[in-house]
Amino acid sequence: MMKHSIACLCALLALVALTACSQNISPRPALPAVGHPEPLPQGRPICSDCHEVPMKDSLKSYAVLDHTATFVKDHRFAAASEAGTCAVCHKESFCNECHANYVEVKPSTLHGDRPDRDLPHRGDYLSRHKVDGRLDPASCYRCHGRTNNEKCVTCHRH
Amino acid sequence: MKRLAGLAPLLSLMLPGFAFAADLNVDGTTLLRIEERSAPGFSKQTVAPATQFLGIDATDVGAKGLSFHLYGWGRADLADKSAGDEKTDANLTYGYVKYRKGFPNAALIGKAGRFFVFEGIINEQVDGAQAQLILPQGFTLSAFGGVPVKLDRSSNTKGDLIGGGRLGFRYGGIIDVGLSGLHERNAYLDTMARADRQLVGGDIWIAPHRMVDITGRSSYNATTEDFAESSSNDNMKSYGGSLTYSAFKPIEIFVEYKHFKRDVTGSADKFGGEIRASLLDGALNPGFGYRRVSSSSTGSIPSYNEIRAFASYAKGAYSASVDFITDLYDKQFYGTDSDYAYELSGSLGYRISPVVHLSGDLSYGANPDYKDQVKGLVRLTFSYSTVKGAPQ
Repeated sequence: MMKHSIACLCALLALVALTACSQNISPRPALPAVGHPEPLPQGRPICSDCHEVPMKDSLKSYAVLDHTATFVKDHRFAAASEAGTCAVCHKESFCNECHANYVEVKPSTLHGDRPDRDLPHRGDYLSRHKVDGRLDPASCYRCHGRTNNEKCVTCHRH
Repeated sequence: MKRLAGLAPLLSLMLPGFAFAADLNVDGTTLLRIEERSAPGFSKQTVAPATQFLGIDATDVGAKGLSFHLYGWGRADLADKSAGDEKTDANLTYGYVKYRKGFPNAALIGKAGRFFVFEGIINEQVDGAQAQLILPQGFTLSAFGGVPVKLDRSSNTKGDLIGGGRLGFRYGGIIDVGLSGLHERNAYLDTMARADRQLVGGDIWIAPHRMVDITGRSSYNATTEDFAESSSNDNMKSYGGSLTYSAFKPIEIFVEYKHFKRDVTGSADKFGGEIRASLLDGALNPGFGYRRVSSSSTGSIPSYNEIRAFASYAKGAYSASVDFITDLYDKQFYGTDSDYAYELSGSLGYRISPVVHLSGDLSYGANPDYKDQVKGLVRLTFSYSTVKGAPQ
C-alpha cells in the first residue's frame, strides 16, 4: 500500500509539473485534434465541403469521412482503411477511449461536458447493458474485444 | 498499478530521446469523481476515485519514421472502493514503437510493443509485433503475432499465443475488400474448455455514388464450425441501415433501424432517430433523440423507449451543457419494482489557458438498481504539443 501511495504521489507531481510547463510552452488547446492544417469550424466537420479531390492513396472521396451521424455510428470501415487520414486530426487515444480492453470510466463520463458528441452508454447503462448483452453481444466485442473485458468479469465470472 | 510502475524505468530511459523528437505531444485528463451509491438493502456508499489519463506521442525519435506512442491511466480511491477489490488500479492501454518507411507507390509500417489490431474481422489487444505493407495496384498486406494481453485479474479468457493478418484490395475509390483471419492457441471457449480459436472472414465496402456506401463483413468460426459469433446452442444475426439528411445547413436529421435475431433470445427491432442543430455559428448545439427497442420474444429482452434531450453552449473561455436521458421499460425491469431510469446532468467549463481546460459536472438520477444517484465530477485536461497545427 505504501508503494502504491508513493507511486501515485510521484505520478501526480510529475503531471502537475507537466501541466505547469505546458501552459508556458504550447499554444495548443486541450482538444484531441492535433494537426489539421486549417482551422475547422465548430461542430462536426464535413470534410468534403473543402476537399473536392479524392484522397491521394485510396482514391476515395473525402465524403466517406464526413462526420455525419451515420459516419459516427459506422466509422469502423473508414477508420480501418483510412487510419492515416484520421491521424491528421485524431490521436490513437481518441479511439481507445471507447475501444479498449479495460476502461476506467464510460466515454460519456470522461466527456460529460460534451453531450453533443455521440458517445456510447449514456445515462443508465447499468440496466441497459443487460438488454444490449442479450440483444446483440457481438456489438460489445467491437469495442471491448471478445470475452476479454475486465469490467465484465468483475461480475460475470464463469 | 504494477504495469505503470514497471513502465516508469522505460519512460525514464526514453525521456532523453524525446528531446530529439521532431514532434512531441503529451496530453492528459485528471478526473476527480464523487458519487453516492444507494442500493435497496445495502448501506450507502460514498466513492471518490481520482483518475489520471496520460498520452504521449513522439515522432521521428532519433530517426526519421520512428515514433513512440503511449496511453494509459491510473486511479486511487480516496473514499470507499469504487470498483474491484483494490483501492488503486491502473492500465496501460497501448505502448509501442512504430517505424514507417515510404517507397514510390508503396510503404512499410512496423510496430512492436502493446497495441490494438483492428483489421477486417480482427479486434485484439496484443503484446507483440505487426508489419503492414501498402503495395502498388491497391493491394495491402498485414500480419501480427504475439501474446494476447492478459489483465491483472485472472479473467481466464485469453490463450497463450495469437497471430493473424489481412489481405486487402481497393480499386478506384469505389471498392475496398479484404480477407482476414486469426489463430489463438489454447484459448478459453465459452464452455470453459481450452482449444485453439480460429476465425476467418471477409469485409467489403462499395461506394456506387459518393454519397452512398454499402458495407458488410462476415466471419467463419472454424472452432465451432459456424458463421459469425456462434456457440453450440446459439446463433445470432443482425442487419439494418441508417440515413443522415441535412435539410438545411444547421439542421441534421438521423434515422436508423436494426433487426436482431438470436436463437436463445428470439428477435427484436431497434429503431429511432435524432435531430440536431448547430446555431449561433456553432456555439449552441441542441439535440433531441428517440429510440425504441421492440422485442418479440417472451420476456427475455425487455422492450423500452428511450428519450434524450441535450444542449451545449460555448462562448470564449466559457462553456455550459445540459443533458437529460430516460429509459421507459414496458414492464418492471428484471425482477425489480422499477420500470424506468433517468439521468439529468449539467456541466460548466472554463478554459484557463489555451492548453488547460477545467470543467465540472453534476448529475442526478435513478435506475432499477440505484435510487437517488448523485454524482459530481471535476475534470482538468491539458495538452502540450510541438506540432504546428491550426487551433481547432
